[in-house]
Amino acid sequence: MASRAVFTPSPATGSILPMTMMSLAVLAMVAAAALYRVQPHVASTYHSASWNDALNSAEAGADLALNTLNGALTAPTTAWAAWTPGDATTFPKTWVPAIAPHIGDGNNKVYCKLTVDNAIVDVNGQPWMRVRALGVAELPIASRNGIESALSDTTGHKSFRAILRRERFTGDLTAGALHLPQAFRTIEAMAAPPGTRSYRRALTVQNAIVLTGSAYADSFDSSDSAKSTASEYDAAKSQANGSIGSNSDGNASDLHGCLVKGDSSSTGGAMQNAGGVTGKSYNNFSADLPEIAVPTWTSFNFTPSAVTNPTAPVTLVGGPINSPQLYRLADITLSDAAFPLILDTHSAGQESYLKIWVTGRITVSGTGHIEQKPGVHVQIFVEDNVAFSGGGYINQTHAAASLEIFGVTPSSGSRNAAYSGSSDFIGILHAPAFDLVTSGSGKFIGAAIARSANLSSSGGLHFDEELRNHPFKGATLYQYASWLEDLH
Amino acid sequence: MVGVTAASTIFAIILTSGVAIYRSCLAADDYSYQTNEQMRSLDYVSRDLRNATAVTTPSGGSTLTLTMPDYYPTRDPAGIPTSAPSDPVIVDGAPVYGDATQPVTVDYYVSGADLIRQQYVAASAQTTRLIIASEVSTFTVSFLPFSTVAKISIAFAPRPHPGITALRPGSTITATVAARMLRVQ
Repeated sequence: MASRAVFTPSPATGSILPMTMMSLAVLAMVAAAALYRVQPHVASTYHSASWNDALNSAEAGADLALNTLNGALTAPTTAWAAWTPGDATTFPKTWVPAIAPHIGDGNNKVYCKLTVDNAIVDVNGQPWMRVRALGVAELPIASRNGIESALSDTTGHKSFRAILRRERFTGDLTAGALHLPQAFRTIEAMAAPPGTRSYRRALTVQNAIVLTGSAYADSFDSSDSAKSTASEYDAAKSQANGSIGSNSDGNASDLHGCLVKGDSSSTGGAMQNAGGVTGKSYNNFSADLPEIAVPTWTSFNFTPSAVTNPTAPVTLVGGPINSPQLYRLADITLSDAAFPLILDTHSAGQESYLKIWVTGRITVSGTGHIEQKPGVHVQIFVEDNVAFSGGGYINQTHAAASLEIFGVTPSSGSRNAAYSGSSDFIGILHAPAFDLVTSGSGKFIGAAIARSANLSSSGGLHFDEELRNHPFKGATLYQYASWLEDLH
Repeated sequence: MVGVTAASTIFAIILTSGVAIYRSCLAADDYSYQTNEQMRSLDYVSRDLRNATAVTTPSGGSTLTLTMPDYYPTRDPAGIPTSAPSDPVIVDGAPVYGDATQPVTVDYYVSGADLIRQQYVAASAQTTRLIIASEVSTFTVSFLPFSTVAKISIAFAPRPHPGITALRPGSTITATVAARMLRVQ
């Protein structure tokens, strides 16, 4: 009988499988533990991305609000149509603009809500617009796994309130537009009304600035006795806000080491020989320099029609603030001290206002001069070149804000504005199409806006800081004057 | 004999895989942890730079000092705002928040291996120091020439692990930030 071998499995043979399973289980647990640690970090990284998306959304909203504000200057009845309420005058207003979703990892939907109010008013009663822009982005993680860990202070105390990128798990900010959880950021920006920030520095030009000789720039404040004497410039109280700025490449400007007590700013490049600048030098400067339009008056005083080398003093009389007197002159040409042009009040002791439109040139030379009496506020619009020398312009108000010379922007080319001699000029020159040249020893007190500037006057350029409260009514744009990211 | 060889091979593979998984997990953890630390650091510094009205970077640039208005009327003991910003007042053609003579000063600097955000609220004479990130080796800030745009650079050291000595170099992150308040004021 043939025998047959019988295979009897060993009880130990089957232990490989459970051992393998156990080993895999251990490995899986190691992997799970690692993923458990990693996942919140990864989620938190997405959280950061969402948080920055929320900022982009808020910033885009702030830009949209500024665009609407500027649009409302020319179309007040329609610019606010998308806002609630949509009329021109009722504030605050709100708007939820549509912001396109974006493609990418993590979240892809953002939301923005804008609020504009006019509750903040400046010293002139002019309302400033406060823009609040809320930006919201979805967090791509639906649970608290992505929450950022609490930060510690240096004493070891932890606080979740110290977290910068706070997330929102309840209380939808978007009325259902986005899902929870959300990252959100808020920007609060103050929009300055047009013209309220036109006079922020001593000199603003479109092209180059050249300082030579003993020219210098500084500042004072005619409204502050600590920074002026009897409201006038006092070298002993000189301040360091005599900044200069050019909208052109700084390399075109040369300060020749002259003293500038303030900042120097240009658009690209670097101003040459700027060692005399006591403040900071910037090259990402940009200033809005709107054109000065020709007046469109149809009703004005017809006499005199010109002041051309008069043989007797000529007096132009102002009027009360609600009825300023308007004059249109073909030119002003003066050269004799005995026959000046006098700008006088309509009533002794009263504040008086007058506007002069000069269609030609202003030329003051020799001993000739223009005399602005105390209490008189003057605006001069001039279409051709301006040249003051000799007696110059005697502003007896001693207040730069009381004299504004507007150089009308020509249809083509440029004009010149020259001030020389030993008498001081106190006022504002606002002539973005005029090339300004100063020389001699007279002081230039106030502020200047010009096409270019070549200054060599040893009397210096002295910015009256009080002009920062003086609006230029010809400006056409709102601009942001502060930018705060709200954290509360 | 065959069984012992097979089992040994399997265990060797499992052991090698285990070590590889462990190291991979450590690397993934380090990567995600440090990415998070880096982004948080940049987010903090960038946010404060945008709000600052004055920025000082002492020689060497390893400390950043920011001055900003005290935008908030109330804060908790940790110096964290507890209310909306106060209404600004327009002074000399510029919005002024809070008491202009009592601003908030924020310093960023590296202490040991920690990036510290020190905040001093002058109105309440309150100083707080928050650890923004760890494993930081250097922190530098410089302005682009003639600009209100700052360049931030933060170098992070690699995280040490027991038994792992072959550390790779740390990572350095950079960012450029427009100091918006410097620009508009």
